[in-house]
Amino acid sequence: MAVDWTVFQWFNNFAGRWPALDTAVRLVMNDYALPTALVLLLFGLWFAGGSPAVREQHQRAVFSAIGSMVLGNLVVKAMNLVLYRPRPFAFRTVTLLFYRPSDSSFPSNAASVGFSIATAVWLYNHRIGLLSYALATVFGLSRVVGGVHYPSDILGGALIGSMASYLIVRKFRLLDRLWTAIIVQLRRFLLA
Amino acid sequence: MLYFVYQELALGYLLFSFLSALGVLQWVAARYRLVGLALWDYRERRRWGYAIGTLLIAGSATWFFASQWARILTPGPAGSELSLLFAFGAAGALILTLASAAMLHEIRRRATLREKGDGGSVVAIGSATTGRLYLPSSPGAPVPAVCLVPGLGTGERRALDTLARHLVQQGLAALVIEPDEGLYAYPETLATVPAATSFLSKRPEVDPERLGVLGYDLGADLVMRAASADRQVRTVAALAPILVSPPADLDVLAEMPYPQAFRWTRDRRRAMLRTQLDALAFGARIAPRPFLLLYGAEDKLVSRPPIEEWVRTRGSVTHQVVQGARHLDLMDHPTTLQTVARWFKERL
Repeated sequence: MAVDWTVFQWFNNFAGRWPALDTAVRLVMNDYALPTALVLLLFGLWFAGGSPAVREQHQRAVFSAIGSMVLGNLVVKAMNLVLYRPRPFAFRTVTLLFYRPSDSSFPSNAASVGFSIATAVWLYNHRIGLLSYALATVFGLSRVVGGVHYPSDILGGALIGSMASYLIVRKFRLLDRLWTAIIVQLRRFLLA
Repeated sequence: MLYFVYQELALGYLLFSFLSALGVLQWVAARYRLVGLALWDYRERRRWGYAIGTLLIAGSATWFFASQWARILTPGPAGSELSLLFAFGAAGALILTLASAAMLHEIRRRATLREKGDGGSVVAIGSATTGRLYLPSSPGAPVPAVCLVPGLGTGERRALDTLARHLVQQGLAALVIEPDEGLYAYPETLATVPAATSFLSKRPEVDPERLGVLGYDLGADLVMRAASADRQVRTVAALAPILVSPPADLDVLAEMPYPQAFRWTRDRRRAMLRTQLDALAFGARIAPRPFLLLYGAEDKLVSRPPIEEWVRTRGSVTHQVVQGARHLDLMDHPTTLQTVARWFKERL
């Protein structure tokens, strides 16, 4: 925990020094910017691909990302029922760039969402997956700089999101058949 | 439950989602040449698509964050609410894009129709079919002639007229069959090409020993079938014949807008006629006569792999691909005009 606090302080020390950096951090740490960027990436991925085979892979990635987000969220909610970790600002002095969330700090739901999308995409398309990982990492780190999460919250959320994607893509084979069935139906309407 | 703490924030996010999704659609439309998703014709100017897409995404993001800056740093809609708003915004963008692309495509199509004029003289071929006959202005001796058969529901008759005029400039006569309903009634349609070759061979301006046939789309399937039995035909050119079960997926939007694509993929008459003509089986009998099979490199309405496999097993077929051409604009492509004119001029 001491290491966690030390790393948190290192990141949080960047906050409150330069107004331009604070604005940039606020811009990326909120619930609208990067989550929307990741979802827009999925939206574009649905239509992307030079051949039907490549596009089908992308469409599986989109379904898997949505499934992973849901699974990751459920795990985070379940953990929140049995585990409550106060936010960094609860008992210590930190520089806060955001409002004061009241839910458990660990695990980070934001990181879970970001990394579940990034991992699902990466498992199908490494290039776009790397871009998604970059966005998810920036999203997670900005929450630490902004003072609403400890680094371990982000790591925990990232692990949950990534594991959820891995399970959805690699282990839950039944879902693969479900994605295929939906894609086949959507093709009838020229939407896949 | 959905609460939407700030109604203005929720509406702003909905508009942001809508505009940014619209921008993403313009990006993919430009990147993958999906005319069915394009708000403008990006085929020749792909950068426009990227520019419009970037402008929509960056513009809507700037507007949203500038106007809602104070609110986004306070507790706002829950994740489920944001997901719902994004879904509505993206769905709205998709619907608007599909509808607008269809409207713009129709406007462009009408403008193209105005640009091209008709020509030739209308002639009756047999009892039910008519055509437009194009003859060189003052041929000294009887000239070679080509019968051109249009596709079904492709709206390219005027492109065939352009091709006919091009053939006439090369010193050949051309007969463009009118795409009336009877042309696609099976088995009556099988009489079309023999009637046309018979008509041409009786014309004093035409050399009956030098007749060729050209078909486009299902018309190409028809000429392959007809030429297999009609020995009077000296050479055959099949432009984008369908031959095998065609693909029906998002790729069709690279050829035409959504409403047209939807009707196209559900056209049972086309599917039935393709099966009845069975041009792939009959096409093998065209040899040893010269046979040109021409496709657009970006043709999304034909399943090319099985056709290319068929071509590999038949050495007598000349298979050519026109770079940059799709199925529906293959006839308009300058390379197609040149290739076809050269093919008939050298072989008739």
